[in-house]
Amino acid sequence: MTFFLAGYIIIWAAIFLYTAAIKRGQDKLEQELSLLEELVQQQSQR
Amino acid sequence: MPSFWRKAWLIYRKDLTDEFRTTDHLLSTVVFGIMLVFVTSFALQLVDVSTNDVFPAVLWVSIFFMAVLALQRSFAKEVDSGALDALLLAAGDRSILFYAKFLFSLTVLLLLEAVVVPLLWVFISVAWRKADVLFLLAAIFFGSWGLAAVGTLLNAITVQLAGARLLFPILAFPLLIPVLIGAILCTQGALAGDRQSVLGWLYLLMIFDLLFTVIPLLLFDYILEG
Amino acid sequence: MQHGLKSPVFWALTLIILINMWVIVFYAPVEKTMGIVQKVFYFHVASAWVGLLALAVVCGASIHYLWKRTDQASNLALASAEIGTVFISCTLLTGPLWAYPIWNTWWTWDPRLTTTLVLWFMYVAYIALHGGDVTDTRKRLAAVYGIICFMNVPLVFFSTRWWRSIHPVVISTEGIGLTPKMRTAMFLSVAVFSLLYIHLLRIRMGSISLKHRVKRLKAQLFA
Repeated sequence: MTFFLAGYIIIWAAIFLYTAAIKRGQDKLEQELSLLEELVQQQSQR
Repeated sequence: MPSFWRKAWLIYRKDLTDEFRTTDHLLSTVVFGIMLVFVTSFALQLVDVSTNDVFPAVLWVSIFFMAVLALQRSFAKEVDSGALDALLLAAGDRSILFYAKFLFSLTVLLLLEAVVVPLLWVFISVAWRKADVLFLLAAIFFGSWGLAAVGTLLNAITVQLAGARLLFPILAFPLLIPVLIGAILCTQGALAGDRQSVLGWLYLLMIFDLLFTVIPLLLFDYILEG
Repeated sequence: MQHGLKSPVFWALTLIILINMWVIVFYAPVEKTMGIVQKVFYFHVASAWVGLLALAVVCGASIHYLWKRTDQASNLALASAEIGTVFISCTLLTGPLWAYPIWNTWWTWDPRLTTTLVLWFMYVAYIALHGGDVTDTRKRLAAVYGIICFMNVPLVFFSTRWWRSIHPVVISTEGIGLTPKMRTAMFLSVAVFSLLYIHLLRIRMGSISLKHRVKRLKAQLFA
């Protein structure tokens, strides 16, 4: 039973951690992107 | 295609001449190999294992480490001296360059082994009564062939990544597992004089060698593109 | 594409995963000799399957990249390799959890185990080659390496197979050594994991192309 539970916990933990890592990276990139787009706009206005 | 092999041969000759003119690299690799063999056989003496049984494993692990040093040389030296583009122009067909470099790597590897293997043989004091020397040499030859082919292919990849040459052993290791298995078991069989099992593993090595000698015909153009 | 908690795909996937868990725990029978530990098998096999499938996708996408040179193909290969690594890691971790009570050892050098481990090394090497930086050189070289890796898998497998084997062969040419209910649970798990793989692939590809866009914008701004 212990081994059984451990197996499933490991799998879901791994997949969850991976998606969490993607999500974090994505949020960071989106932030950066909006900043960059603002900069591009400023540059084109000048 | 007489000119294909002729060009490959000329580049091969150039590489050998070049390598023996400045023996720095060759010499340090040999010394590294000798030290590796010394350290491992000495370490095994200390814990008192039956050294005859571990000979194949120690031999191939040493050859692997030595190969990592020796095989990184083939394309790296052209890139370091800024000669790769000129060489590509001179060769015309890119796969010519692969076969020339492959032959060069194989030659260097065999030369290194010619020094290291007898030394290991003495240090470990192999019981050679039953050993089949011909098959032992075949194992070493075909094993080195596989190492040289994969090493040349991957060296062409890693030299193009500035600052990432350390990737070479990491890329090479997973691809070389079949060679490691085949060569070690072949050596073991040859030591025991067991021809039946040796032949099977020799075939495996040959299949691997053939595959990695033919793949470059298809893929090498993409590696050295641009 | 919507992602996160708002996406209907996410909720649909959660639902089938819960159904899948229910099937494994309550529907599939408990194996007589091994007991409840045997149920690790369903997800073990499913993640191993995805691990291998992902490498095939890496190879296919790499061939496509060398042929057409689209960023999409290259992104697909990288995303697939990453997800493959996650699933192969799951296989490698759940395997010992079953093996310890049954074989009384955490690890043996069986063909399937060895091949899976080598697969893991290949993925790591591939990602190290591809993942570092976004340049066309890296994409091209990684594509070549991905193809070579996939071709190498059968060689690794057969060389270890000739060497030794104690892993249970569940699916062989003579059929499947499972009861019908177990079979249902296994195929359901494989199907669910494949869907999960596709979903993760789409998410990851989105974030990789975002990374490319950021890089392009930076180049445009600071050129």
